[in-house]
Amino acid sequence: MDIPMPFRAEAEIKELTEYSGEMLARAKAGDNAAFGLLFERHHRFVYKFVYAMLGETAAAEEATQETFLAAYKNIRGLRGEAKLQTWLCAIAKNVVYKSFRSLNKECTQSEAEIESFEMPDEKTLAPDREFLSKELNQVIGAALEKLDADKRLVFTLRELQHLTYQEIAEITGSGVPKLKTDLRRAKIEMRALLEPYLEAGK
Amino acid sequence: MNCQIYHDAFDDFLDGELDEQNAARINSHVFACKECAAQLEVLKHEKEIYAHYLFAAEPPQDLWTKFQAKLENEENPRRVVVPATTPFWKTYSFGLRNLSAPSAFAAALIVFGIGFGLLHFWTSKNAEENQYSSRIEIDKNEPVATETGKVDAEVTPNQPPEQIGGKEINAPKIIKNNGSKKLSVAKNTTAADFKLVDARSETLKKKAAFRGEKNFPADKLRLNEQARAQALELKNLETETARQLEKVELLLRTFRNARAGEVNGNALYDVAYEKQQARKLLEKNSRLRQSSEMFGMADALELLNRVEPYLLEIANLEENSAPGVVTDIRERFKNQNIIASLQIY
Repeated sequence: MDIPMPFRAEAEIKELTEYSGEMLARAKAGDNAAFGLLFERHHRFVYKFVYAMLGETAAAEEATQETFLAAYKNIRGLRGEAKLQTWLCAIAKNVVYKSFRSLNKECTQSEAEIESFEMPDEKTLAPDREFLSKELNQVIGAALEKLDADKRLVFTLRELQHLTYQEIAEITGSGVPKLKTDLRRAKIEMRALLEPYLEAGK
Repeated sequence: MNCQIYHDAFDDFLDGELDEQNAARINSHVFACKECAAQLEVLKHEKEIYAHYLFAAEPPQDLWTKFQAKLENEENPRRVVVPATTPFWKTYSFGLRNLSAPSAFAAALIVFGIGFGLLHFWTSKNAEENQYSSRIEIDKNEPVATETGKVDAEVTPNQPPEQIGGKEINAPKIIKNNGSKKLSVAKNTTAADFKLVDARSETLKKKAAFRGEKNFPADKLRLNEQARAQALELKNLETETARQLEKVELLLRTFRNARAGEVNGNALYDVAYEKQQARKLLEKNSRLRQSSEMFGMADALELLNRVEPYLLEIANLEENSAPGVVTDIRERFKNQNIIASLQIY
């Protein structure tokens, strides 16, 4: 008989957290190999987060690098009790918001284009997602883009990345009630945008 | 209207946020109400769609290497700043105080050795500077010899006779071996001496030119397109090998530091991550090994060869391995100092 799952998972989690704690301590002490390991462990989560926020692979790549660069510089300032993933996400959030601010002018220019978006266009499809439902992903991406930054942030962290409200509150710096309201509104907006696709799944 | 209350709670229900009692109420309602069941299905479908969205978004494989390049471009404060807690002379005096007699002697020897070397360099440079004037003298008297071996036969007439017999024959050895003796000889150097030095510096120049051609891509670029492409390829290979070995080092370190977890009373190592990494690295390793063999990169080839069996073993481990197997592999690469040699590379 196999090892009962809950116990196994518990042991794994315990070992993992202990281990990453050790790695974190070493990275703080200036061990680049340990930092490399932390990068290896967390970069996918950060990448996915910024990808959902920015909706573009190149920009996501850039933002991920920015995030880890800032993390590398400030890792010694990290409080012991803060969870590394939350901390990285908070940095990534700042990076993303910064790029939003710098892109603000361009956004107002292309707003008309976004508004006129109706059906996904084959040409603008990202090549790395071709094996999944391309159209659906494109629609979700476009819908996410229509949410304002705060709602998109909460929606991404909660619905796409399944963090707890507590963790999201740590990242965004706002209270849990506000998060819940934002999330509810975001969900309603998303549903309205994705209605035809959701109905199809009925 | 009753259903609306349930609809509002569906999100929390699906997120697992509801307590047992409320979850049970929703379960029983959905079982009874067709509409709500359909609505719940829609929400489940919605969640699946969202899950797929990020599932497909994967970072590129080379993000770490790109990041490292970026890190190097940035001014890296960690490498630049040296903690200056004690003045350097204090640390050095501290070191000297603890110095034992043999090591002090060895240090003194090294210092003298460097001194002699410098002296030798200085004198040979002086000789080179003087060579033009002596060259003219040689030209007046007879054709210039090209090989060092002929020096003995080509003694110029204006040399003092006693040097022709004894000292002159020894001159080549003296120049090569000892700087201090060279100094005394240099004071009354003969034209033959200069010829020697001349010939030596010629070969040195040739050697330097040859080395430059081999080592510096910048020189090679000037030669021709083919050589340029080759140099680039070599450079790429070198960086790729360095990256590979760095990754292997990281992997072996992780592996070395892996701890045994308690699973069902047995101590087992969870090496799933290492295993996966080793698999990735193995493929690249064999490819790099072949190309470094082709380019004659002996150091890289040796390291890649040494590392490969470990990668293979780690890749073939079970996800939860018995401590015996893991420590066995660990002991072996510890004994061979693999991590240290990887670090040096």
